[in-house]
Amino acid sequence: MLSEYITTVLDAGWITLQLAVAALLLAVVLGLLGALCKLSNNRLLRGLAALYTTLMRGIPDLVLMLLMFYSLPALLNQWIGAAGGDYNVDPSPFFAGFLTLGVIFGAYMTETFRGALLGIPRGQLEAAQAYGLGRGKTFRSIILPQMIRLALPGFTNNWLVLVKATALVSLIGLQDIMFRAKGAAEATAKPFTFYLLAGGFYLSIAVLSMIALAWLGKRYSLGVRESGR
Amino acid sequence: MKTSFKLLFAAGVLAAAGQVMAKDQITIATDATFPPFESVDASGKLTGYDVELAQDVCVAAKLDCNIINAAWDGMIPGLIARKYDALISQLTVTEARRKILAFSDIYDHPVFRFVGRKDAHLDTSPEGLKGKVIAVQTGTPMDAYVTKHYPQSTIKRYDSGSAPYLELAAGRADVHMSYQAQITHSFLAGDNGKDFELIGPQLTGKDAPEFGEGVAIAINKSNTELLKKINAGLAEVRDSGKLDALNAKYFGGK
Repeated sequence: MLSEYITTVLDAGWITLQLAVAALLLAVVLGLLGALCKLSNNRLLRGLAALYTTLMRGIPDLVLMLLMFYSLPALLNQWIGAAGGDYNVDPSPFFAGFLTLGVIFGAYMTETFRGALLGIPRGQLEAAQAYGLGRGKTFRSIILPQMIRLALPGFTNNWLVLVKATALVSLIGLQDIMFRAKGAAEATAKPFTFYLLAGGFYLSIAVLSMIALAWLGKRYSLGVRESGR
Repeated sequence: MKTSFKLLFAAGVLAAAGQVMAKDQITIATDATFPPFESVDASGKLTGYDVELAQDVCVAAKLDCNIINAAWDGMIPGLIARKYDALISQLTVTEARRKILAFSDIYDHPVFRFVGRKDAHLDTSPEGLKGKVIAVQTGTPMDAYVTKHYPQSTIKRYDSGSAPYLELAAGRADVHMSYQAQITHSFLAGDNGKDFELIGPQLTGKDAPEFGEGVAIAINKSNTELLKKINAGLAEVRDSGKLDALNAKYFGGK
């Protein structure tokens, strides 16, 4: 019976992974936008980006998640009801978790990407201009590859924290590995078995990610190491 | 890779939309971490006294019910925000809860009990447990009861039903108070519980207001129509003898 519980718990690891990857994608998009806003010449954009990163990095993840899952839909429904609408906003735990984690880690990614962009020597932009490269081409061929190289350590860090933060979504009822581990722990009165199992799952994701991202880091810094010698 | 990411997004959005569409179905939430009342079996399905009762009530009331596993902390907020239509999770009816929730007719009067070491021969009166450590699950009627009546004991509170048993077995708590049926099922029947026994009197809502009036199904206050249907279903389950059968199955014919 124990082995069946173990399979059921590990099956839920798939949900955890889906949530983490989906939130990561949203975080990368928001992070790129945020970093570009923070470095733009427009004061309004800079102010908005600063407000975003301050709020998201300053409010606890759990508070934001509860607001997103309970309070925001209730507020929206009130407004819709007041406007005479009949639509009932009711995000699933997965959707609320995806949105919350994506938005929070977007703020961390903003800082990571901003630091990486600042690390690219200005002379390279000027050189690209001198060669007559357009803005799009400069971004794709000159800035992006170097930004990835400089952002990878911070990115790896954010990703590892994000994977573990998905465990919070079990509190709003997402049937992820943490939620199932708790259910199995209470049903069998063997909490150590199942919490260690969940812990092992997160650890293996972390180790695999570190190996993959270290390999990627090597690839992106090929040219740099050569010229450094 | 890219398409699979897109699929992930679509799945998330659909999951959000799906709940909006299925409006005729009644969503009943339970916190499946409290055997034998509600827990998950090895395949992840919900099982237990409350779950079976909810299924019987839904059949009797001709309701299309979807019983889901939810986290305790979010259940009452979820009912108020209308994420769930009803809750069944050994919810004790109290004055404070009646102010924010509607309750069905009471379907059970649970028995509360202390559990302690066989060889300790403890007296469970407040004087007898003076200076002793009492473990309880936080936010429960048991928590309210010992907090009020045992001011001279050290009260340790845990947020899961199983943690107090680990503390008892490890000797970090002297006694634990819980539902008698839960103590028997989750602790005394297992290896860890072989040196322990139920101690002190059987307590119910008649002995102290902290234990509440009994347990019932909670429904959103504005949903009077569902309340009527559930009460009718509950009455039918009671009249047909199914409730007695359920009591016999789980509590040995109380």
